[in-house]
Amino acid sequence: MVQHGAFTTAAFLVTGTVLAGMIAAVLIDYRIQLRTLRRLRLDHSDPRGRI
Amino acid sequence: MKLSFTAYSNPGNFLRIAAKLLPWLWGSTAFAFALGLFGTFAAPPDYQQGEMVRIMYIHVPAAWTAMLAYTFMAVSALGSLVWRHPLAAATQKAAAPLGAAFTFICLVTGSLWGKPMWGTYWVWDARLTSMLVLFLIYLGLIALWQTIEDPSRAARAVSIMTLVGFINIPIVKFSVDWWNTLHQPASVFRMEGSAIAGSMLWPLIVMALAYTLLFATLHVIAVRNEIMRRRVRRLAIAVAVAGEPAMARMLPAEVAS
Repeated sequence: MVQHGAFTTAAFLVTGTVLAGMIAAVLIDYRIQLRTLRRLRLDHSDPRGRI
Repeated sequence: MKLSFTAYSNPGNFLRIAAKLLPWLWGSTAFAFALGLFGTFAAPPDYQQGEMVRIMYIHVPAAWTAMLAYTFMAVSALGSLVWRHPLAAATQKAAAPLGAAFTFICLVTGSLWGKPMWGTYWVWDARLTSMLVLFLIYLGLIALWQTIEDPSRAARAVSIMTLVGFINIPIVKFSVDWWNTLHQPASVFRMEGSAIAGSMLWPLIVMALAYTLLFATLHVIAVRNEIMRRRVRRLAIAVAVAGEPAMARMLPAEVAS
């Protein structure tokens, strides 16, 4: 039976870091877009909701 | 009751549905990860691989999710090109970085498993190479989105490239059957049934569900971000037309986004 704890630990660390990074990236992007929209005055928003 | 397809393609409706859906998606993702990780460390070690088999529970679901994300992008590309679905381009753009991240996880964890098991981090066999090609396709599509400024022109170009790149998905899936590879053949989705013992199979399935739910959750948020980004663009133009430089109200990070 093979035991290579360092490789398993590294694999889980990389996976956790990338997944956490993905979550942080989309949430930070959301905050930035929300803040920008507010700065550009929400009264300019399109009520039809077009992209 | 008349259910209109176009009603759900309205970004305003999408934002309302997303707001209701997201708490449930976050909750089910957290639950699936908790259960999956419990199963990952509760599962017995493999008789040959020992504890190294635990990498399988994070590597295989990453590969499945990477291919699922690309398939989803290809469907969105069809929606964008054929039906001009208003949300199709946004969903396609939002899925690419997520798919690239899952492909990256698959490649790195596979490499870390390969060193102690095969004696090398990397071999140019068909499965590994086709997965690397998938990663490069993802990067190429992300770059293409950034290259063309007009969103509708970018969406058209990226949709065509996405559909061309979709040829790689069956190559990834069947590479282990078509060529003699160092990578082991399919052991879960087989005509003869799964070759994995039940005690090791259920954590794998739960982790795959957790990855898929995480992809769905982040994708919904990323699509919402994309809709907001386009509104910002329109508002910036409206403000500029009104005579005030829109950039003056935005921070450098916001301008760059």
